[in-house]
Amino acid sequence: MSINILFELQHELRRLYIAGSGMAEGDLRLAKIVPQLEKLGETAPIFNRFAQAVNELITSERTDAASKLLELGTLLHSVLYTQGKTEGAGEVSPLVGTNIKADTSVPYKKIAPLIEALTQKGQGRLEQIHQAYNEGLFHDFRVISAAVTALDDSYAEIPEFLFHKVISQYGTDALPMLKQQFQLQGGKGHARRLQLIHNIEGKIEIDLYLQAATIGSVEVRTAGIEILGEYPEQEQFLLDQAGDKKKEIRRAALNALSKLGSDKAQDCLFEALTSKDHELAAEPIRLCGSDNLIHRVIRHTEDVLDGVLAGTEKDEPEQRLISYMTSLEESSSNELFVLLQKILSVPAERTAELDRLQEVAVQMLLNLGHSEAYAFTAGLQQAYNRRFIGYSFRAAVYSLPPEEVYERYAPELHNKRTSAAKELLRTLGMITADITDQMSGNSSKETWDPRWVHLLIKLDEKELVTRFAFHSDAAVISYLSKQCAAHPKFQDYVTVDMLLALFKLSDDHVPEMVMDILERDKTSHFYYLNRAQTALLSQLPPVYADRLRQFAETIRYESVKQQVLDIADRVVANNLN
Amino acid sequence: MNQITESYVDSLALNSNAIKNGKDLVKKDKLSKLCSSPDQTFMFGECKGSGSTPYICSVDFIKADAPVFRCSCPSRQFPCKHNLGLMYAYTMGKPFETTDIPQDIVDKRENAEKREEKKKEAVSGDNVNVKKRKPNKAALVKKVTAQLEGIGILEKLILKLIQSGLGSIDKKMIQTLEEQAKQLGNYYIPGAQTALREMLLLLKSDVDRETTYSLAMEHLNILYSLVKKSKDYLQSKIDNPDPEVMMDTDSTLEEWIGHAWQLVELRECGRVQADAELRQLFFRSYTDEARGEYVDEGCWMELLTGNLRMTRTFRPYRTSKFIREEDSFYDVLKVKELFIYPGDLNPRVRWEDATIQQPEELDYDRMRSHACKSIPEAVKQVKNQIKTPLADKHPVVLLEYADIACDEAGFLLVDKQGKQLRLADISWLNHPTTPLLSWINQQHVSNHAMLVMFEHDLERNQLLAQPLSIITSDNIIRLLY
Repeated sequence: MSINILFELQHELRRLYIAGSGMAEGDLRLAKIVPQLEKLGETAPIFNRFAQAVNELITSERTDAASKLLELGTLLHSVLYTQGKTEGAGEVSPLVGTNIKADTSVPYKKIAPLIEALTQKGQGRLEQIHQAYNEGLFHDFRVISAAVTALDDSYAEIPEFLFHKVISQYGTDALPMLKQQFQLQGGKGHARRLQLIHNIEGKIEIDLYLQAATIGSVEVRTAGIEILGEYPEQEQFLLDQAGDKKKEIRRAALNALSKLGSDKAQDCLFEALTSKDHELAAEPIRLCGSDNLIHRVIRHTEDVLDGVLAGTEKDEPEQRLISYMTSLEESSSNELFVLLQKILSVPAERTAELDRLQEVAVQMLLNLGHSEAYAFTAGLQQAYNRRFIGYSFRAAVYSLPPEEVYERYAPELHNKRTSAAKELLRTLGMITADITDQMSGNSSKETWDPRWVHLLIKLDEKELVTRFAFHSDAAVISYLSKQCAAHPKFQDYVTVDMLLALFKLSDDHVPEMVMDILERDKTSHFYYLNRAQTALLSQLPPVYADRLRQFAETIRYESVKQQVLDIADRVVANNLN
Repeated sequence: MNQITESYVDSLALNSNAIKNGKDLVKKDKLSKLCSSPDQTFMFGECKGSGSTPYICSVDFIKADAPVFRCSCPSRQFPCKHNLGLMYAYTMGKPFETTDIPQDIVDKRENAEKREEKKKEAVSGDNVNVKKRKPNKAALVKKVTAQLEGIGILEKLILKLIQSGLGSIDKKMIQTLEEQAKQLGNYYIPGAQTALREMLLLLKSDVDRETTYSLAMEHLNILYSLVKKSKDYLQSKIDNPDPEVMMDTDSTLEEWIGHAWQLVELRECGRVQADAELRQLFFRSYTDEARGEYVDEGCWMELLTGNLRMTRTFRPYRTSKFIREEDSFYDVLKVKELFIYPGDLNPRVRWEDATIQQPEELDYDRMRSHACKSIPEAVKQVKNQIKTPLADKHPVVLLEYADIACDEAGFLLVDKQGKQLRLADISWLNHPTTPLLSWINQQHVSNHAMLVMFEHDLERNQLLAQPLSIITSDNIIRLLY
């Protein structure tokens, strides 16, 4: 083969390009090639030219060698460029093609950033993808496979978005890519692919799901098992998986069984709940929603609780009991109500080992939401050293008339420093809307006894006073005005709340007070206006717009200044309306 | 102005950031006092910026195909984001009040008209002037002498490099070479300078050493050919300093040295084609580091002749913001005067005025009829071109195919005679398209035409072709952009 000698020559020349033409003089390996070239030259004259050029190179002076080498190299490359092979080797099969519509109508400027976002790393990609989605760019033929490939992206939000929004929309168009890319031993991205294949193909690919559920990587197996939960005939397989060595697999199997919901599945779930897998089983049981299963769990919980109280249960049963409770969260049966009552009636000396369970139980009791549950919860006011006074108070608020609530609980605040009083004050703050919400009308109206506000003034709970200042009252106004004057700080959120409350109570002096505080405070250094501050400034009457603008000019931070100026504009507009 | 659509406004924007900024202005409700003229040739409005007074911006559609953008903002982009915002507000259906055109605009229109007339007069009288355009002979000789000197420096540099060998190149040496490359800037040979820079970039890159050597070897050969060719050429220019015959208009040598062809020059040497109809077959945008420019490249077919032409818009890094980014183009372009640069199979073209036309059904068959029917014939043509050291090594050809086939190594294009061509992603494009072949519609696997770009792989001694587009009987499927 004459072409091989050219490659040999190319190899030798490459060596000289690297080592330097200074080494060319008398090069033995090149000299060896010359006779072969000359022989080939007898039939094809081009080889004679090579032979001559090589001869000139190896006999030339050091200084000339460089140009000789380059000339020879250029000639050789020219010839090699005509020798490139184009044919395929070996067996050839025709391309089958798909049914995907070959739409490539999205121009470069729009599609290039999207493909880059899907295939490269870096910031701002999710936004790009969202935008492209809104513009409907994902239908382009060139994006589909990039989108499927991006299911493996490490920036979890991207695959999540693609999974839920984009690829399900492609439907069968995405199928060939999903199947081609899917690997049994792959990670999370491949679990997503399997799920998507199932969403599109359904039962047709049942063998693939079974294979994935049996021999896939942990992630893929998990996905496969959860898919099989939709096929009742796979019951036995899923029951087997529930006993797997790996926790993730057992979890997936329990989830699948929960979907299945058959008798055997329920038995298995119950068994798991009573074993060391109780935490894994709680959620599937909750989602399964079978009354029979719930009944069994409640009975079992009662048994365990009895055991604890009798002192026969060993090895820390509380965590298990909490798992049982989690699995019962959806239920609203009377049986559960009885159980919860029982938990919250255990003798006080046994609560040390059950206090977390009781916390869970009282919350569930409150969630039951019927009058008997409220009555029982409210009755816990003094139980267990007033530990549940917050829950009790809430239940009372939901179920009793305002006066009665006040009369029952106000005495508890006699001494502000007790833990019960602190808990009660905290609950008061949690279940009422703050003044900003009240002013913007975002809160539902709750009726409170008018005595609360005076009690809170006595306790000097400034922030709570603003929440309970419902009616114009000289004592309240005087208290709030005094407190504002004592803390004239615009950055103090309590002061801002108190000023807002004064607006609400229609106090005439408050606009002046607000401006005064703003102007005297000298805090030109704030970086943002919070919700309450914005609401407060917006309350000012139109005549203050100019003073507000003047104040804005003293603010150093540009965006805040702009915000204040905008408010000033709005204040003027208020008048017009 | 009535017909302007969102995609039309998109196409006016210089870049995608401008599109986003313009749309944001509408979203954030920054525009006010939106007005349009009764005859719907003019729109204007105010746009709030960061300052206390809003910007006044307007778009004049008195010439529907060349709207005039005016804005009181200091941006150097035309249209600026305020102009774009104004137009988006219009396309999104915001209410525009109808009022008369402000007086200053009426004046400006008049002035523009006068200017236009003057220009026309100048052009009609220009034909005489063009002939009179006489370059200064002495200055030309001086320039060519400098060029020759520069080429001489480049030659020494290459020979020195070869003498000590590629293996001896280290960081310090590259630094010196870079400085020398910079000095070449004084000799009016920017093309040769770029070619040298390209090789230096290669030597600096962190590709593995063996590949770098092979590629550098090719680069050195090209540089050496360039030196030799231009030395002879420039010498002949000095020996025979007649400005009329000084330019080599048949080969790309002038461009290699660094000449930027002006349209006037191309017209003078008759490299103009009248009334061409063009259709874009692929588009891409890439960064040319050696030149320090972004390049927007399009490949167009002349519908009548089937010739494949390239357009290249160069946007230097520094001013890229103010030059329009080109984009994929889907319509037919009618060009009065098509200027053709010296080149090989796919010469570069430019034009000044063009009108847009909707593509017709017939166009697709016309384009397909120009496709090369035999793969060996196309390959022969390509090989003939790429064997010349200074030729375009990546010719583009439209091939008719009977089938697309696959084997272990990938895809093959098969013509009616069963001849094969290996399809692969080439390094020059740096953007894979062959994976897409797996997903093309079954209607498109056989008996259509495929546009491919060639590249010779020296390492494996293969001539590869990367698929760019497929022309079917009613569509162009763009695998690139």
